[in-house]
Amino acid sequence: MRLIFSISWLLCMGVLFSIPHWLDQSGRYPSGTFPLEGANSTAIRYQYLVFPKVHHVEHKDIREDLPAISKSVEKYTDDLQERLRIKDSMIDFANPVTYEVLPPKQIPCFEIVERYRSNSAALQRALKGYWTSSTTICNELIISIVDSENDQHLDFKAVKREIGRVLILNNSGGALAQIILSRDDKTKVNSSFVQPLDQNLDIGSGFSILPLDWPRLTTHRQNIKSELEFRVPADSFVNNKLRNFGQIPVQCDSQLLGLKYNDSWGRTALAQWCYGDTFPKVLENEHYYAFRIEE
Amino acid sequence: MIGSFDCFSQSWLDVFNRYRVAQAADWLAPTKIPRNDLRPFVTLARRQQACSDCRVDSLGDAGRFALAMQGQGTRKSSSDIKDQRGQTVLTSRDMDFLRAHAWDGAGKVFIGSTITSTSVQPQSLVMGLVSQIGVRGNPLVVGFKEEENDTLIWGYRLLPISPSDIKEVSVRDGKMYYPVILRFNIYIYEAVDDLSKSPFDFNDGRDSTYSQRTRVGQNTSAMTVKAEFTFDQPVNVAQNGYQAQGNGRLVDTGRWLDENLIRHLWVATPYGSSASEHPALSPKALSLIEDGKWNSPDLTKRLTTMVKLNQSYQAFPWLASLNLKSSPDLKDGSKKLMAKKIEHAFYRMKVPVKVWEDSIFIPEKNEEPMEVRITFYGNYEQSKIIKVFEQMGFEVNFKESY
Repeated sequence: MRLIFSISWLLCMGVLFSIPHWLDQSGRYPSGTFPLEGANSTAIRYQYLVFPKVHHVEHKDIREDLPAISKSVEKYTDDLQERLRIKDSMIDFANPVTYEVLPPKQIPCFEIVERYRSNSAALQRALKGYWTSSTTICNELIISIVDSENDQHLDFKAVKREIGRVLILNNSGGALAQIILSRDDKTKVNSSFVQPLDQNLDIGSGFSILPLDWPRLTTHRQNIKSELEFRVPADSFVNNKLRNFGQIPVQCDSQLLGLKYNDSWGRTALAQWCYGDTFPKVLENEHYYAFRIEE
Repeated sequence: MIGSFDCFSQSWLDVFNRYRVAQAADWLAPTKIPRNDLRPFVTLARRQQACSDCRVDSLGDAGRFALAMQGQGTRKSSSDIKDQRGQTVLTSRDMDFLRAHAWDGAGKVFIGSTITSTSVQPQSLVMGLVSQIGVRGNPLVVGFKEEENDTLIWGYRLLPISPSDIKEVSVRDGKMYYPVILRFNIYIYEAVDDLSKSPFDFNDGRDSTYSQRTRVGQNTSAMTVKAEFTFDQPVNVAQNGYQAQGNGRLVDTGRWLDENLIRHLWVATPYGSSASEHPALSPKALSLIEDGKWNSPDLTKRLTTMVKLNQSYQAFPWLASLNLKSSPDLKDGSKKLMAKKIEHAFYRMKVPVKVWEDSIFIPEKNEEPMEVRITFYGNYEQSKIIKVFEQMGFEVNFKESY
């Protein structure tokens, strides 16, 4: 009797755990190992809050006095944390913009070329050596902006507002191409173009605030360090926002890893994540601070 | 491209081969921005009227960016705009707002000296040129040292690599490094035409070098910039220097070879603006401007008040590090920064205010109150205003209003 019950129990559990996978038609791979190497996550989407940084440096007085003020701050204290707190206080953070990231979808490369028909010629060039074989697998990641009513970035109609990107990676995590998606707010027409990428390079946002400055671990492995806590700017606005979303205090269940590196645009960038994460938890450069929120 | 000496990430070889020459495409429609840089703004405000030489309507994001930056850099007059009968059409305050409208509507990113970075790296300039002008067709803006105004860059050309540009290999910490000199021309938009010259043709194949800023076309000047980049593997050139080959990756952010003349760089983002800096531009004001109702009484509702704020050293912690007595010059920058931070805190709540930086009194101690004059455009609940101040770390004490 006990044996029959155990077998029935196992069967039931097996069916229950399998149902979501049977129903899932997205083909996405929540435990994907790109861009990071973890596989602990089972989320089917990720959200980032991105706080654009405002340095007020378009004002000449501020721009000219910043180096001297910066020197004063350096002399004022040897405490690194205090220095960082003071420097954070000199930057403003704008209202956050929400981005959604879908985990990798494994798909034959030629299907991607077929699917994005209007960009197929450019994709064929960018995926040269990949798309002609019917068995070569690519990984497709989608990053898109979440527009909400009253979002400040919608106050200004743009002719070509970037609304998202599609990243195409090879099966070892190297980025082959990105499709940059734009929207004309006046005519409400979407457009896109393909930019080939170097598979050895970090995935980067360029000069936009998309939170996809993801380091290519194979090139930075020796500089990844274990850290004690996540970087959260000492700014009451950022802290209040994250607290309102129930995101701080935040800590890792596993080891906290961090990487400071020079990105492909000559800037210093920071990425932090928990061991096992697929996507960085914190991203920061000169232009934005991004925090991946837990839903 | 890039990296520190410990981490490799990118080679510009692909960049060099793929994007050698480019000009700002989106900005080509208005081949000429009217000399009077205020004119397009007047048109913007009075859209019902035809304007024969104003082409602001045809400007894309990049054009708006260019226009805003040009206005930013060439503001020479603050006098009112009057019609033929001498009546004021737009006051200087209106014009400031309108210029700021173009400024705010143009998404932009600053690269240069900020509180967390030092200067423009050669790599940032090359990537700015390639990714903005080359890939997207947007113009760039450069602030040159010892020049008052920012300058529009609307084209570039990476010059061929000659054998002498490939320097001798060096060894550091047991690793081989391969330095290569990259020379590139930047083409500067000149606001004043030189009618003795014809418009510059960016694609005519000339690889001339210019040791200093040289007029090359009706409204274009050129200048050659040199920087040395270091690779981890040898770089070979083919096709007379037009094709770079090799698997080398860049291991530094580059080094300026001549005196670095570039102080900062503005890049238009395709994203639009998420971080408006101007206080008086509420969405309501913007829609009124766009509807041609700039003089609406809604925009003239305002209240100017003197506010006493306690705990200013808590809200602006950097004040404690400054010796304002021995360095009074720092007061101007600090006051401006304080004003902008207060304005921005309100702007995030979509409350347009103007903080008069000259009115700011910085106390010597945190216990003493800071005073500041603020103008509010529109009516707002005092509790909302106090909340903004408190979130900044202040304690508020309204003194008087007038």
